[in-house]
Amino acid sequence: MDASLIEALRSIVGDAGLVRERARRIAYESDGLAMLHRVPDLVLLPRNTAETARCMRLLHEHGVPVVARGAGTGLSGGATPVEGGVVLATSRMRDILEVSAPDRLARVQAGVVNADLSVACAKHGLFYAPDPSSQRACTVGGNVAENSGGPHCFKYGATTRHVLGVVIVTADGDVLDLSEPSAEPSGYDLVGLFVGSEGMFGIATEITVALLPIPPVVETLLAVFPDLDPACEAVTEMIAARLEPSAIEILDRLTIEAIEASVLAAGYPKDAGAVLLVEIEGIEVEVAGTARAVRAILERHRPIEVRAARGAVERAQLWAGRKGAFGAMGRIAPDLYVADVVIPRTKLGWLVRRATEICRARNLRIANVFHAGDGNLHPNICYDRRDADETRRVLEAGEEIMKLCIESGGSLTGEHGVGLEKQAAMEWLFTPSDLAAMCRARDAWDPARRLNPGKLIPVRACMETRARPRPLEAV
Amino acid sequence: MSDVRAELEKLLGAAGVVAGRVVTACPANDDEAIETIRFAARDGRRFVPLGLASKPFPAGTFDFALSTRRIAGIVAYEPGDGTLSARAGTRMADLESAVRQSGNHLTPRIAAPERSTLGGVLAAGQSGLDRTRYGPARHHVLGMRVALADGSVAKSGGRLVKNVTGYDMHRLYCGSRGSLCVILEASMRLFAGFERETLLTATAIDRSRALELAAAVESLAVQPLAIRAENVLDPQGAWRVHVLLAGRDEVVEWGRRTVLARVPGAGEGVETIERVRDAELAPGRRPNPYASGRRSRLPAALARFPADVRMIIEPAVPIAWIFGDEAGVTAAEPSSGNVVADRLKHAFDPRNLLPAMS
Repeated sequence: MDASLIEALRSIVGDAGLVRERARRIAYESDGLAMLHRVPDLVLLPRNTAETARCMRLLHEHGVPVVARGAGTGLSGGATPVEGGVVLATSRMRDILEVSAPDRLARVQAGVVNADLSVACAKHGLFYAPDPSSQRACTVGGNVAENSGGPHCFKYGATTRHVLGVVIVTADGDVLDLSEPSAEPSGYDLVGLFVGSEGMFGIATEITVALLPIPPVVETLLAVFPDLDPACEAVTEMIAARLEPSAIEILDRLTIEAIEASVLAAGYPKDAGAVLLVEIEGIEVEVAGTARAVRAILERHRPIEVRAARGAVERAQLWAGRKGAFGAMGRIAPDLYVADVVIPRTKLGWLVRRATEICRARNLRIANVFHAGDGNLHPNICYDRRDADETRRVLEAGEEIMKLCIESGGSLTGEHGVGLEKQAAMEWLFTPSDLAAMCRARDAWDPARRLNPGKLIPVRACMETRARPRPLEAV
Repeated sequence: MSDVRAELEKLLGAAGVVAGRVVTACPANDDEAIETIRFAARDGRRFVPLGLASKPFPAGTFDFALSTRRIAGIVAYEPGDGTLSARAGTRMADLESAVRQSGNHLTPRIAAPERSTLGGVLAAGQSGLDRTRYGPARHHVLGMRVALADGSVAKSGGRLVKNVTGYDMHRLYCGSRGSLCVILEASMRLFAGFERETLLTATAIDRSRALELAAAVESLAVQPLAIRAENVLDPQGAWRVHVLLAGRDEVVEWGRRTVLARVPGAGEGVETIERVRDAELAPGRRPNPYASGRRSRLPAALARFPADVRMIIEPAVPIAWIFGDEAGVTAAEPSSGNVVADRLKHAFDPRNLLPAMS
């Protein structure tokens, strides 16, 4: 990279805002999808919108590609660096700019950690609803880029429902201030379009989010089943009965074993074939009624045991196990391929069975942990990336599971995004004409296609003649 | 240039073309709609997409209107999954009754469902009486299929309650008022239907007291479907605060008792729910003058208007409608982002065949 450009960037962000040494740049070589990696040429850490805009203007003038990065917890390669490009990370934009209890909103810099926001709002009796499992590390800016979900999305909806405004630095370094919320947008819903655009439309530097009142009553039910089928069937029945708990999660035997053997041990029975976690929030009468109806359904499916969390400590422990599931898997396999498919909620049990068969046929171990209420499955396939053949089989199984989902009315990703991982698979789901419409939107934001190039849109779809094949150092 | 009406009749038959101040093409299905758009693209004809034409016609000169009213019907309804897909021309009333039978609720609950189509409501970016609880309708659109100005067809999203595959193009199409595309089909997330609906009403001497009452109700955690303060129906100028409770029987009953016990002067049976719905259609409605989504700024913004101006306010949204004196009403500030908005318009409709974004 041009030395004078680097010095010009240094004059904007200072020494602390520029990462040049290779040893430090390696930390940015991938996101949570570690099998795809490339050491970036340069990492920039601006502190605010103004610094970001000045950096982006310079990079625009020099035609340098930019990959935005939050905490790097993404699982689809959305933050994987690209050849000849810089990584612009938001880790020094950590200020909570405003919490307004009367307006039930907060304004934060993009690098604010998701969980920190809810902590900051708690004293006002408010919380921020989207709660990805990585919420102790992931950033609100990253959540906006990926339209992240989380267990409680079942009731509250994914990130897009909670984003009221965004300050965006565009590809050419302009600042688009859409931070003030509006009940009825007077023009196009640019904020709605921007959320989930995977870093390809602009860099979000400040985000205005809606806050919700902390529900007065919470009940967490844990049902233990001998295997996965009855747990899935119970969920399908709850959805059909139009019950609206705030979260419905399932963990299978292998996942339970991993959690219980780890520091996150949540007290799940180790001999269980499946654990179903149901959380119900609201006012007392509402929670009591829903809990009664949920219990009745659970009982019909012959659980080994149904219990309610006794108090906040036990509830936190049950959730710590669920949210730490991915970390705990480290105990049973060196690497984990986290699939993220969605299907209509009437087909939960069927897909889980088929996914298990697909993995078994390839001699792979599968651990299921998923947002059952949303039909969002995470079949996690265990592997060792040093074993090339096993890695190939894992990718094959992942593909087959995705294809199966599409055939049954499902989709490629429920909350992790397309990124690099599922880019090619977009053509299974969308026609060239569908993808061309997406390209039109992208070109309106970033005509030169310099922001996160080579992600989400299959290479051929936009006729990206300038794009190179997957810019990756192989597995 | 040939006669538009004759050209459209060649494509759609006499039954597919309605004469009027502006000729309206009424294709019977997607293929006819696409053929109609291709004809417009080929001949450089400007046209206005619409449903049942319940909204004001956009400014500008147009060769014809394209109504999706005949492209109607439910494509898929899965009560067990809480999702619904329907063609754009399906009347909201038909969708409401279909889902109600299976115990679901479709948002937005708009004021005139028999005179509105799904496509029209979404294109207009309309929210409904249930906006206090569910927010704008665009939050619950799961996917769309649209025809672009060149006659190509593009889908986005799906029929899934959670899905981040590809950009949320349907968020852009929602509220784009026919300026980018013709909506052909949309998929919606449904909610649990209501076992019971109860309307409570309190009266207040003036606007600020009405807003205080509304805030008091909101603090009770009863989660109403709507909280609305208005002086529209009262010739004496007194204010009413309506609280519409809806949901499971026991929850509504708890809410009813809580509101009656805690909100002074609240009572039942003062108005009917239907009357509250009709208020949205009151003549002389002006655009929402209140552009901010910050509820704390609402009282000051409304204080600019004289005390006797007729208003309907939903403070929890927040949104307000002002009636009467147009001079006092300032239109909402156009949002910034015009460069991107202009580029989007150009990318989707480079020949400007569709209306401008109003």
